[in-house]
Amino acid sequence: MNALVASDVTKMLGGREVLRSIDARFAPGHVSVILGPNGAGKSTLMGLLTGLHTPDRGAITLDSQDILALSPRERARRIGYLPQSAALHWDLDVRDLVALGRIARRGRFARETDADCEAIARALAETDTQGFAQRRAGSLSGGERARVLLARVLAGEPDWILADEPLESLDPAHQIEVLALFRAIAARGTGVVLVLHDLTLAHSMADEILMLKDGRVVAHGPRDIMESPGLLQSVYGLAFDVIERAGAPSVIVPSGLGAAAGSGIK
Amino acid sequence: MRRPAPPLLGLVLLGFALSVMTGKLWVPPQAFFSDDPLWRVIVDLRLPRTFLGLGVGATLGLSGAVLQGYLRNPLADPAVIGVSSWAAFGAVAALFLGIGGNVWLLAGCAMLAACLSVLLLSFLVGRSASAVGFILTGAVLSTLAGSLTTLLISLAPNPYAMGEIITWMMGALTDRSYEELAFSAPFMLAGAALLLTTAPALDALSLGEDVARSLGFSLTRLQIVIAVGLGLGVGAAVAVTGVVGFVGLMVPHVLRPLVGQKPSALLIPSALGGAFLVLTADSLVRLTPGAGEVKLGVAMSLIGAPFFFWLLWRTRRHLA
Repeated sequence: MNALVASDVTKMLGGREVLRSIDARFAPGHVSVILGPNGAGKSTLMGLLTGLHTPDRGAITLDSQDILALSPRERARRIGYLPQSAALHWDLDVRDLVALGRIARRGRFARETDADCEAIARALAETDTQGFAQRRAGSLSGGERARVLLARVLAGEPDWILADEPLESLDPAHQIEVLALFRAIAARGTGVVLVLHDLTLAHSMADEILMLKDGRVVAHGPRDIMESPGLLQSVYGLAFDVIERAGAPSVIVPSGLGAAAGSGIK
Repeated sequence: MRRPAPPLLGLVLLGFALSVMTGKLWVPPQAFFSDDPLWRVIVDLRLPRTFLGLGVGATLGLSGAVLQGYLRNPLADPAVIGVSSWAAFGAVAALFLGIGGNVWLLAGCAMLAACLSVLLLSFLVGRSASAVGFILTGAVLSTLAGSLTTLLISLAPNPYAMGEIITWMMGALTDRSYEELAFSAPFMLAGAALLLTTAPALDALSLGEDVARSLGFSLTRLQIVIAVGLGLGVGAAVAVTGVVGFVGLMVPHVLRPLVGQKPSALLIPSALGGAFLVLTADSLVRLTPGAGEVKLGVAMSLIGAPFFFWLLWRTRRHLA
């Protein structure tokens, strides 16, 4: 399985250049995290990587093939997408909701096969949501619902999982749990691309980081690029402290907050 | 209720039997199995009317369920996006021009207007295919059709034409023949077949347009299929009965608590529920005392409007 690559991608929205000449390569089996301030173009880049948007210039390729040349169904089989604050317009049963992830795998009018049932059960188990498979999604808490929506993506067994702020409504314990799950999924060879806002979490679990600002790539590389002096300040316009724990940089907080958090400020 | 179809099918059969037997002239069940002259009443008058009620009800129920799923709005109905009003305008135009006496021309005009309205809607909404754009544009088109229809009524060449138009607009299944049935049934069937193919896409849309697209569905194609399906089905239904409102709104609502909210699970039950509702209502309007009968469209509004208010009241209380 080859990489998901953005080559010289430019995207205009409403006459404004939201992304300009983006070059990025995401490796399968890795957790790649896209960071950047609000309005940097993170969600637009996710939309391009999933094939929902068409670039105005450049191309997104998967296995060296333009993803827009793939049939929508083939693309859906290979790329699972979890959008930011996913809507839930009807109060579906949790299992029915998760089963939607299988639509691209089975015939649209075909009944569920054993493989479908197994994939759905596995996705429910992995996200620790099997306990409420028979409940209505509307009765779930924000955190439970976020995990169920993730289970929907996992049920499709895609080669790539692209999730836009998947930790948004989760408490710290579930954030850690979901990130561990993304790591485990990546360890199986699946490519994982996440948009995150929490710099500490991004630094602790990403294999590689892509930093965007004003629609341009500011930095792209292994997670320790986040420790480069001045990089975070230039991206966010705010000074950050990188705090060491057990001899390794591990906590990234805005300056001022860091003083109270511990010693070893870099 | 996991398997709602069998009991609903039972209700449709009941409605069918009721429609064949009920009227100013009551046809008892034994007339079916004898040489009774009432048999002619059944075959010539009641059966085409009953089959039309079945088809129109099923088309309206199914169309409502599809539109509510597509627009993700439980208040959507073929009338909301203007399909019914344009079909009615087409038919009224035929009556205005004096060609409405020929059922084929009247129905053809209604269907043509329904299809054109759907094409116009798609053209105006453009490639964005967003549900909000669709519903707003539909509302504007619907208002326009209503105004044009009123204009034609006020310009009617003589009182007879005006009366004919108004009678037709009230919506009824009275005195319908096999000719209307033969004309409309294939279009209603084709429309229903198209609308049923949207089931998986409607389920995917429960999670929003981005997720539906990421699951491999083309929203533009979905919009075209729904547009053509509605144009054919609702156009043909309005052509033979006039505007019968509220069926597409009420039936999915009543069924949702029973079959769950999954849009695909509502389609066939809504078609069956729509058929039952129209067959029953059309049987009851025949029992009106006196020589005439309450028009089906009027009866449906009399049932539908209080239902709608009850629905609003319940929703408000639920939200409070």
